[in-house]
Amino acid sequence: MKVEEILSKVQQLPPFPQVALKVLEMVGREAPFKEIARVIELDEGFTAEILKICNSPFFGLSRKISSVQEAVVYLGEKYLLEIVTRTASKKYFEAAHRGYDLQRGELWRHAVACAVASDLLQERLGRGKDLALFTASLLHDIGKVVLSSYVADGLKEILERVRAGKPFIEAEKEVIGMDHATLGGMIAKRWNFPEEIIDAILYHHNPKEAKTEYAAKVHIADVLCSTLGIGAGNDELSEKIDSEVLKGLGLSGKDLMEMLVELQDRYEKTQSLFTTEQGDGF
Amino acid sequence: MHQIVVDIGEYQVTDDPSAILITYSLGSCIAVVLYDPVVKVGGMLHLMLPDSEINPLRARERPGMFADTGIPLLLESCERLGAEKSRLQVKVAGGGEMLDSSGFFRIGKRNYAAVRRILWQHGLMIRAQDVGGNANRTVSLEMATGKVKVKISGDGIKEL
Repeated sequence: MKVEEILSKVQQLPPFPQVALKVLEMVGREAPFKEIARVIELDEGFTAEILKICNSPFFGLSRKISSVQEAVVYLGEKYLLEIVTRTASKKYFEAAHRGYDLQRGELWRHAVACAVASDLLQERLGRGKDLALFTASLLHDIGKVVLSSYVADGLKEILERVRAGKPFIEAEKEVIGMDHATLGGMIAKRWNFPEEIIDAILYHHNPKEAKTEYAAKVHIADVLCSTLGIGAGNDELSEKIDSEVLKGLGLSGKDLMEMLVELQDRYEKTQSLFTTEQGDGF
Repeated sequence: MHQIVVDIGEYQVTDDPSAILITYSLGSCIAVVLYDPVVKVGGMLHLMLPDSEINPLRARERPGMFADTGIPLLLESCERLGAEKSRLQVKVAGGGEMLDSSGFFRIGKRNYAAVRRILWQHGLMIRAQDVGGNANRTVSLEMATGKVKVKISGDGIKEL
């Protein structure tokens, strides 16, 4: 059975780094930053990445930063936590995902842009930065990483259904027996993510069915990125916009257009630090 | 041959016959392509939004983001390289949209309406186009020949 084969592929995915999960959990219960920093420092990989970014020309610091405790002074707590989440996530997304017509780096750019968009959304709604939302936005398409090769195999049939007006995600489900959101939810559950993150990944195309507001916010962030074409591949424009969710959060068409400008600006600023270069032709 | 990538909200013009202008994954954005076959001067704009009133400050710094500020600049820049307006071949692609039964957002349609209006105001007629629908497009302009190709994700490549 294809679905069983897909589920066995999920088991083979490398586990999400424990340090990043621990940090997420500590931020969730508002642990003091000093304690969080100590956890990060136990991991050489994360520490190295934080120091690399802190010492990059982007920040133009005159002296070399050599510890996480020092780095926080320059980066700020929230940005430092973001780096941990991004560093933990990047390796899953970077490859090309041919089923979705995405070249190397494109799905990762989509993930990063979506996380940036979720920050902007929080600001527009007058709410504070939320690391769980940022993480859910970054990982919302994790199911695609596994499903891509199966989508590639069934692409002709999927696209036939899409041309007949069916959303891509429903066509995935019909042809493969599995869709990227359901699979993403399973992966997040397997990785022991908090419930709101699992829920947001599972319902990012169908936020009305979600238990928390996270899915609606990820949905909106996803819509903004797909509208700009960032990692939009062959599928994103063939998904539905849930305008009720937009209205429910009090967002107007004008809000969305203004956010597109902000998104492009902020995404570009972070792009140089976190993503790989643009494609290689047709 | 070398490739000149046009980023989101940017434009590029060239008279280098060995160049290919290319812009990736338009989503609801629109690529406006101008080409003068006599002097082989061409340009491409990757605009995001219809109207600079959305953010006038950004429009001053980054005019290519908006149809009303980007298109005149693209035209002027081509003319500065020797293109003649009367000879310009105008091609337009992009403006795709997600499935939106309520018609709440419709940014692709708004972009396309603005592009048509502004081109018309400048006396430019669209010669060929591939716009709208749920298609995500990548567009290239081959400077030696003026060939414009559109790749629709999941649907192959065609010439405009």
